[in-house]
Amino acid sequence: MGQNLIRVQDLEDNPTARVPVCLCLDVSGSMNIIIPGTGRATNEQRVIDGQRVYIAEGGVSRLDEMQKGIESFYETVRSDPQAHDAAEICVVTFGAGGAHIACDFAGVDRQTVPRLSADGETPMGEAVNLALDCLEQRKKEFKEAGVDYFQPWLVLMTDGVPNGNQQALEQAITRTRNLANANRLTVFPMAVSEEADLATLSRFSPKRPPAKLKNMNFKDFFEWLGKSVQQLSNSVPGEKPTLPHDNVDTWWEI
Amino acid sequence: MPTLEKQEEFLEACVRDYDHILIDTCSLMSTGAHAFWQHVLPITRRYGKKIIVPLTVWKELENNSKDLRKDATTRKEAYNALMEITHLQNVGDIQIVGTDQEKNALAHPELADKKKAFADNVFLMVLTVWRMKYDTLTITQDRGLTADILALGQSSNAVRVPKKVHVRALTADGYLRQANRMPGASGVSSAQRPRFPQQRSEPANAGTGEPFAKTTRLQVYPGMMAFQHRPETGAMLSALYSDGRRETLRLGAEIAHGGEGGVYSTNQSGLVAKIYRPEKLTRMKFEKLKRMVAHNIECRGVCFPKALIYNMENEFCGYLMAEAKGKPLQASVFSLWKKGAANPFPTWTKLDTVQLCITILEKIIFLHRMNIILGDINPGNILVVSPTEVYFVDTDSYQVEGFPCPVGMINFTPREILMQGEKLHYDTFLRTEGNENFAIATLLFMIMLPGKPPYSMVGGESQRENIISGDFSYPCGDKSTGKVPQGRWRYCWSQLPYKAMKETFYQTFRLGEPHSTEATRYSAEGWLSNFQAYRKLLKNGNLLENDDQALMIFPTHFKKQAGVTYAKCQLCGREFEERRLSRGYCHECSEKTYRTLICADCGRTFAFTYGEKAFYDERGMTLPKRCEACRKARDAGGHHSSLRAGSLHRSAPRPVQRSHQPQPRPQPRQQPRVDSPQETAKPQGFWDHLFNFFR
Repeated sequence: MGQNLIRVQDLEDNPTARVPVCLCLDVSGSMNIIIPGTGRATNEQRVIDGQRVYIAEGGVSRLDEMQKGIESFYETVRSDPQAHDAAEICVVTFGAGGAHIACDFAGVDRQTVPRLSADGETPMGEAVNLALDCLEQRKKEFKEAGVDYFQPWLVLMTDGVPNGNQQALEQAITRTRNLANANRLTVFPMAVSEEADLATLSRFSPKRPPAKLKNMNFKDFFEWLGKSVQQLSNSVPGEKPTLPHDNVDTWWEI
Repeated sequence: MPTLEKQEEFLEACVRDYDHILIDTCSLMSTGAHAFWQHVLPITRRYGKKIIVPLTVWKELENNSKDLRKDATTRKEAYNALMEITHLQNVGDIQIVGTDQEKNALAHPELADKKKAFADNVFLMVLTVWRMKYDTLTITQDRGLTADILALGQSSNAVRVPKKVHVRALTADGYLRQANRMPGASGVSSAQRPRFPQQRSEPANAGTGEPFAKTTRLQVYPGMMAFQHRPETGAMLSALYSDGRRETLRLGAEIAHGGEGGVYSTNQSGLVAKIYRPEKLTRMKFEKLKRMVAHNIECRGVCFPKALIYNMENEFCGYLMAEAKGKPLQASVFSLWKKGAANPFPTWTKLDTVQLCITILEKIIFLHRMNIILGDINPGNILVVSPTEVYFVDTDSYQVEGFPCPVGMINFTPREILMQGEKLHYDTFLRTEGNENFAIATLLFMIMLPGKPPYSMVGGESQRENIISGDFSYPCGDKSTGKVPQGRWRYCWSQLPYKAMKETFYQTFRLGEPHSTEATRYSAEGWLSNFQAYRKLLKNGNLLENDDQALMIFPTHFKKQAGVTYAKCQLCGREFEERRLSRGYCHECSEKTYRTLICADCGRTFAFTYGEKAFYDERGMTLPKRCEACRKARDAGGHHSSLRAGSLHRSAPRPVQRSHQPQPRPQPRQQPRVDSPQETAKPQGFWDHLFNFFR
């Protein structure tokens, strides 16, 4: 009840037009894979999330990098006065135990950056459905309170192949495509590794081909995303985010 | 009030004693103008003299009568005045006087100097000379001009003024009265005043410069102006002014950076340099900046390009401007709702936000007089130090002549532009003053309801769609859509004065209202006089007398109406109409938890609200023992079998559960939050029903 009141109060008091962003993130077991060159491999082998891997000692995992990326995203958004008031972030994860809301919508001040841990499978369809539900719910709340908003963004990141419920996956794809085609959602599909299922990712996004993250450079991606939120909530030549030209070459590969 | 004879006598004395009598545009457009001619013409004919109407005044009337940005009444007044003086000139009753240049311009409009002459300048120019030769009387309603002219008439160490330089204004019935001068502006010698005192209302904010030409043709200069040597902190540069003067300066630290480049301090105090990134500099920008610098625009708080900056290799790389101070609107005024350090002006009142609007409007009016369109008005490029000190930044994006303002924000873009398409390219068209007036109205609204865009509403769509549909949700008089956003915004709106604010905003934002189109929106001048009226109402205490929250940025109740009794909620202490309180609590508080109780049946906790407590207290009852679910369960378990038979029908209307029962005919709702009255003598509230049902 108290939590809900704060949620409503936040909505009503803050007059800024909102940019709802939902990060839909893969936290399956394979996200624990150590980035080449950062750890020392042992001879032990195991099958994790459908992949045969060596066990490593030390090093930096994909998840570690993603965690840092999300933190820098929050930092970028919080540092700009306009984006700070405009951004609304929600984090949905998929891994062990299915799809899960790691952090529900609220002003960025009230949120603590969720700490992610990786395990289990890749139920992507379920997660995207949950993410779309969250976005729908938040839009409904905006409308009821009389708060302006921009059409939401969905960032979908995976390093593998979806292996959840097939029906849920098809439903998620249809929902996402319909929204994107009607200009009611902007989708950013991101392949985190070479093993990621580009074919499925591209089915989620009728307007923008999936992008491959180079060298696990989550930080740059999320900084760019934060800058795009800044850009959207500041002076804009249209409602669509555009890529800043400076750091495109270093990591963005289409 | 002098008698008619006295007034007539005084008028005659004026015609007899002054060598020349001049009359200004605003007097000719005032209500007394027609009567004035009736009174004065017989006298001037008798003395063989003629009242002088400067040609610029005639031109101003002509412009005003055609200017679609002005409201219909103003256009009509200007037209009537124009017809009258044209007729009087034709029959030889008055004298229209202009300079040779002006007369040439009339004959050959195509050769006319693009610079717009201002009647005020002509008056001052003529009177500066005439004060040595003639006794003059100028008739004007304008307080700024009055102050300027009176200053001309005062002798100083430098100038001894031998002749009379007097000013009078017209009364509503066409006689002469004492003219009001701008307070604080008297005694300023003309030499100290700006050369172009076009800012009539507030000389303190006056600017100077040469107006740009008006055009509707888009300029295009394709190509880049990439340069080789990008200056860094410590570099020596050369600033080129419009008069050909070159000054050397040293680049200091970077203060801010954006997509186009960075802004650096310089070794010249109060001046900063914007240095472009070589790959971002276009030929278009260079050509535009050249024009901007050439017009010598000087206005306190407008950080306009002053000089072009070249590096030591003599490559153009940026421009020089005045340094800005303060915080952007977004982080200051639009953050007034925030608590703690995030709110930089926690002590501000309405008087401060109204004054801020006035300060901003004065600068916009000056820029418009220079034929500059700001274009991208938004909360990021106006910085606020105090209600009377603001800085306009990013001025290189302003639209001048055929150079468009290449950026914009959806929120501040009018429907006529948004309707051109989903994807807008602001650099492909020129904005009109009518387009700009929408952005101005939006900005003002967002200062009055700090940060809230005018078209936010319950059930709204995206910003773009809301603006296009023009479905402004705030009520005006008895017109209301019922979609006003939740929260305190409705109180902010309610407390605004009706005439000066609510009606003006309503007529601007609601589609189909008289000032909602590009041609009919209020100009910055129109808004200025409304905000001055609002400031007056706040200062003289009229609004505060009616409602003690009139000065609050975020009031907590609707504006009080005369003849209504108000009472305070026992819990939150806010004032409400007495009839809206239920047992001393407002609706919100009566639903707040008074105590959390434990159910005797299921053992779960449940909330007991203030509203329930008040009800129980009133009946002298102790706290309930069971939660709602268990009470229901008990009722369902036979306790209420008699209810089904209808015997308790009167006491328990629970429509959801008893929809199969015959319902009493719903009465029109008189009080919100209170269910329809039953046939009992005393009207019963929701809690009464609830209680009866579970008793």
